[in-house]
Amino acid sequence: MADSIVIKTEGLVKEFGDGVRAVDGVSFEIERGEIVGYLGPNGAGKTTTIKILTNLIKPTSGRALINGFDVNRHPKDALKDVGSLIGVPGVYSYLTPAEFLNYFGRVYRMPKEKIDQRIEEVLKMVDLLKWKDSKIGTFSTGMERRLAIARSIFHDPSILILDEPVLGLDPEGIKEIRELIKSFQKEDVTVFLSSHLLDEVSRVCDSVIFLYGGKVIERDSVKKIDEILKQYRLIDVELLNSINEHDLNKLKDMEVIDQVQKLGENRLRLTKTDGDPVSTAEILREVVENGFKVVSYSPERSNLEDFYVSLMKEKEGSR
Amino acid sequence: MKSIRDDIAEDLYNTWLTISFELKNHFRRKRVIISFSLAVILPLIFYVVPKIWAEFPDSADEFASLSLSFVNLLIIIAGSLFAGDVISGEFEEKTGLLLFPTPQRHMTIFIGKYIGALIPTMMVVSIYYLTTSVEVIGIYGTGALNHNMAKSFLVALVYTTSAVSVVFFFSSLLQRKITSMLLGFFSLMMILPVISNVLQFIVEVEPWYIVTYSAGLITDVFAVTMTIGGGPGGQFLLFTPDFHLGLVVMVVYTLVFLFLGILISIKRRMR
Amino acid sequence: MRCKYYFVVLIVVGMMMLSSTLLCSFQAEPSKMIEQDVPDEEVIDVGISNLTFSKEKPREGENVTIFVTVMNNESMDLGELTFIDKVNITLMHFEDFLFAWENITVGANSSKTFEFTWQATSGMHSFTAVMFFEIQLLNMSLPWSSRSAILEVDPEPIGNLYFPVAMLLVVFGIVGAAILAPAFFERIPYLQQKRR
Ligand SMILES: Nc1ncnc2c1ncn2[C@@H]1O[C@H](COP(=O)(O)OP(=O)(O)OP(=O)(O)O)[C@@H](O)[C@H]1O
Ligand SMILES: [Mg+2]
Repeated sequence: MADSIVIKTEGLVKEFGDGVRAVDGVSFEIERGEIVGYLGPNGAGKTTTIKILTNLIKPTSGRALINGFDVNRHPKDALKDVGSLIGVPGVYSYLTPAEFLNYFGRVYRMPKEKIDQRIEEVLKMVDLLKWKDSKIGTFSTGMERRLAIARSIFHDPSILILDEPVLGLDPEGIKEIRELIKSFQKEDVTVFLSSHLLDEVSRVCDSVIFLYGGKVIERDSVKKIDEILKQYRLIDVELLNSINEHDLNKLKDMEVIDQVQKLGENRLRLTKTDGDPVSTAEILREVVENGFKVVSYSPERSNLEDFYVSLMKEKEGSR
Repeated sequence: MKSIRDDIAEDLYNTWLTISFELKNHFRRKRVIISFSLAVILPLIFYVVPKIWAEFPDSADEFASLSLSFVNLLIIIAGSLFAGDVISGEFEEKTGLLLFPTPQRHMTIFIGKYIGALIPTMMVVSIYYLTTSVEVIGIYGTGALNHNMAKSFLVALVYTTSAVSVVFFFSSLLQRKITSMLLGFFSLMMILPVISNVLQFIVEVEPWYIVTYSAGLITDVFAVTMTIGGGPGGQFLLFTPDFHLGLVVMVVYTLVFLFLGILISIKRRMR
Repeated sequence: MRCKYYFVVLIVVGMMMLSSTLLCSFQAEPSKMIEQDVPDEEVIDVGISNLTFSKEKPREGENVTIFVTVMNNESMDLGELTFIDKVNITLMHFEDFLFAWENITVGANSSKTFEFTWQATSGMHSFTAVMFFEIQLLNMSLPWSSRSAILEVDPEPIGNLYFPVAMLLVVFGIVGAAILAPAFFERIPYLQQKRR
């Protein structure tokens, strides 16, 4: 195995009790310093793969290697340089963030001074320094989440395995996490992150592994996503007020929108089909800046499924 | 591959880390106050009640065996409180998502958690014996304290290991920490004693293989035949547990339930 | 003759036993001597002066010697006293009703100690020694003097200190070994191959 390969899976299969193959022969390699997105719709098997990679579950067959060590057989060697964030972890309510991080620092064999120093650094990074010595049980969900993120980067890992890292965060938090992940690029940290949001992955990753029904469909550079975004740039918007004819025209006149489709009393589907690629976020920003009160929006969530179906067909056709 | 010595040293250190982490977690919680105060209050009842309303028993051994008849209950309460949620809590509260992806063998985590639950339970038992000993000295003088007390204490510690093991087993088996705590508690408090009594008094065979029956040794070692309800003969017992066999049964329960629990925990999926 | 003797013994001693057991269970003070001299007036200065045990608190299973001392302050040998044909001493115990019976003689102005051995069983025990004058002319046995004593026997100790310590060591040993075991198993080549 080349030294530069840090994460490797070989024909991973995970079958659950009811015969469901959540992961069905997944093989991929990730090189040092790469930021790789693991993309797939709900139920594709992303979390299952990541749980195998972090020794939370054992694969039915195949193996997962980190730095050349089988994760399930030699977790002590494989995981010592890995920071992970999986799902929405709970908290040890009766401890303080300092005590909590101290334990993990010791598990990762960090020297004492380093632990104390990192507690300050990391808590500052996630904006929890003020609550360093208060019980975690009193924290809000967002604070708990930020603490979990702090824990995953606490020991300065050179490999980060993140499952839906922005889940449950507010837009401000999402932005911060993105910046954090991007900053790792410079530090030669390998990042493997799962997401079901195309947009999300395209913003931070170098390359993408497409997963569908437990199988890897394609591995591509993030440019591929830009192409997809070009084709499938639509966003469902729910507005506070009901929509009239004037609003529709106003939206149609906007640079970033080509088509406006009325879905309901105050629900719209906006599409950008040609011209320069713009992200859904930009479309949203334009809409808001034009005085529309947006209650909710869901960018490209539905069409990722469509995209996968077409990708599958494409693949089968070429065979 | 690293040397086996380093490997073992790492595992030992990891176990120690888990133990101290568990202890820190336990000692922040109400369960410590509950069980530690029970360890003082229960034996105090046996001092205060006879002091005010009745007379103390004639011998220190009689007093001790009366007072210590409740240590069994305390072991079960403390064991259920400390071990009842060690594994199920990790899954139910999803803290396992933080704990398990660390560079540790899961084996050391689970053994550390077992020991981490065993230590506070043993501390509670020790406090109970300490209180009882102080009472014995107070009532009967220093000379009254004999090695029967030490024997009973040691038997109680062995029983503690098996009680904690049984609760630990349920904790690894069940999804919710409240059910695992309650099932652990009731299996030792009711289910096993009921089976043992049915076998003893109805079927009339000796239930030597039931750990709660062996737990009778905790007070049996004082070798006082308590006359409950007066009259010569007093208590009617069909069987009494054999000292050696009883302790071996306890150890077997400890090991079987501990390792079954660990096996289930390792197999169990982190959802 | 014999039959009558036993009958008297039964009634007299039975009463004493009952009272002493009641005392024993309610008062329960170990090794307390209870003196009960049957005749009120001491016509003849002969009697049981002492009932003691070789051990104050024996353990279950131990052999205990019971000493019954009979003193004779008369100027005649016991047995030569007027009207008295024989002097008997009877030792009674609650469980085995008549424990021992012996024909005795004690010299003038002296005392003599008689020994009985008993294998201790656990619990409280009351012993009563009674001295009888056997008067053949009247065809009766006259209880003359008696003495009771209570002996508390500790039950056989259950178990020892070493075994539970050993059991704790076994538990900790195996749990400790379980911590170390994976490091060893990982290094067994056969197991490694099997898992690949
Ligand atoms: N513990 C389990 N028992 C049975 N089936 C499971 C279990 N965990 C996951 N699955 C199934 O395996 C499949 C893949 O699940 P997984 O959580 O890996 O998907 P995912 O890609 O992470 O989806 P999401 O975007 O919803 O998080 C799903 O169909 C799920 O129902
Ligand atoms: Mg998932």
